[in-house]
Amino acid sequence: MAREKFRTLTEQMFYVLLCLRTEYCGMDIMEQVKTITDGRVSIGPGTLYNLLEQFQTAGMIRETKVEGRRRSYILTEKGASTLDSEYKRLCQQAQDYRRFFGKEEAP
Amino acid sequence: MKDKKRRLEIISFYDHTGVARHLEEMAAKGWLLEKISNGLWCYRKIEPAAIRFAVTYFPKASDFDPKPSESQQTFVDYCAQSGWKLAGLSAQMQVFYNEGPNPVPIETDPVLQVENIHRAMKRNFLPANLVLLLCGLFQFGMALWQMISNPLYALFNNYTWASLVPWSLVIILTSTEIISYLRWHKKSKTAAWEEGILLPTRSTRPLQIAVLVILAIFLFFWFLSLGGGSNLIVALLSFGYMTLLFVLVFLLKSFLKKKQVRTNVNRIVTFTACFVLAFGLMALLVAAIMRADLTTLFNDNSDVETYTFKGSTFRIYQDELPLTVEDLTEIEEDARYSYYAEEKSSFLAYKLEADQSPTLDNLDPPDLTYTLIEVKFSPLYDIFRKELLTQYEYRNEYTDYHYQFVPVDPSPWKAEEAYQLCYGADSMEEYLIFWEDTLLEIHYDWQPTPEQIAITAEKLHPH
Repeated sequence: MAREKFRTLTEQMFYVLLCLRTEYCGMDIMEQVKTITDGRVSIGPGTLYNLLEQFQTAGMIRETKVEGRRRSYILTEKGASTLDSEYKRLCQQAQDYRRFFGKEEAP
Repeated sequence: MKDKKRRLEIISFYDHTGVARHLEEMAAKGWLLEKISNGLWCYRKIEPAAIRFAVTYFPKASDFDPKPSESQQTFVDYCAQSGWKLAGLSAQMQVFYNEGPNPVPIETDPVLQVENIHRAMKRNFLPANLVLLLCGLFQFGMALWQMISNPLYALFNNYTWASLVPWSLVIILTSTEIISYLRWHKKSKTAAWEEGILLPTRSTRPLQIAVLVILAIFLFFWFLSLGGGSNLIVALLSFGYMTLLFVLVFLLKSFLKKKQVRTNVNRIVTFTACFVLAFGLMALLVAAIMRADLTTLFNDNSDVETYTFKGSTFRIYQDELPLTVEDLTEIEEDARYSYYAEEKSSFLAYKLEADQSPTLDNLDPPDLTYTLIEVKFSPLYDIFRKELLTQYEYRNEYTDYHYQFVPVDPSPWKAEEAYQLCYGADSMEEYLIFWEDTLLEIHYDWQPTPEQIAITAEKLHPH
């Protein structure tokens, strides 16, 4: 059952990393994710805090600025590579789906 | 009408579902949690409202923190951004509420949430309950061991029995808490990974309340059963000692938090103070008892006078004894005796230890000592019988001649069995007499006649 951490990303992990291609303050990420997903994905503040902490520990993001308690982050090369791998995995899945259902009746 | 109230909430630390539900019910009744302070949950009066509560855990937090750390404050800021306001903090537990409709939950990833809760529980809840469970098992085991290894003492001792009840409750409570949490954690971990949901926690509140009620009833009846005298004084002193120790340690921790002392310093000082105070208060108590000659408080016997012999002072007791030397033989008019009786009783058995001894300045009159045991719980009879018959065996390892109880005719005693103590080939005037539900160990200062034996049996086992 146990999976290697961050080998595959959950939807919330994916969008947090995606947001951090540009520097963002932690607190603004929640709004940003909502915006870029048209409100489809919401990240709870507790989950966001824990994700940022874990991404930082794993070296996938780094802190860029501290203004009082407002901390800003940006993606590192490792984070970008993880995001890229996830994107490719998702594309592969989509491609498999299309190959399977493409010429057949879509469900 | 009061617009604030404080409650001592009976909760399981890990029971986030139960706590949130309880607080939502309180808000619906018009009471909003304002803060958690010194173990008390403080509420303020509001218009009854449907307010959503969420309980989260911050593993790095500690009950010794003078204030929320910078990182915990950041967490609170994130929550505030989503409309979640902080209601109270207690160690790693954080309680938030949200008055908006359909707010985004604080935790939206069950896998992370389960991991986070488990990290927090490993910091505080699990080790604390485990230590308490081990203490309970140790104390319970010690009391049981005492009963098995020294039943003649322990089975009459109400303190030994009394200690079994609270410690068994501690064992039940802590083991239930640990097992309930670990079961929840195991199931939740699977559900979070496989189904993407967080399972609700099951409250152990009914059990906790039941345990507290049983404990309160037990303490009430136990204090009543002590009656008065030394037993009550010892019980009150023990209770006072524990309460004072708890209050002092608690106040010290709160004081250091108020003075913004660093977490680790507070933790070390509080733990050290706990040990020092535990021993210090006990030493003070003993010193006070010695200094004020409070030892008389612990003496239930009726000492009416004292006498001095070779520079030391001795008490002369005048307790009522069911059998005296005077009942058996004539004594000189000027003979001075001390009559000492010590009774012990539990719901299993009753024991009387009697000693009639002449004062040290007139050693001629004969003395008489005996122990009478009445068994209320028949399976114990054989244990006492065996214990009495083998009581001198330990001495036999160091002597050439052996102590042993030799069977003698029980009919003069109207008993089932009778034994006389022998040392090698010499008979001694010490007897063990076993009636149906009563056991007697008696030491005469002379060889008793059949008439004296009959009087002894009649006085000490009249039925």
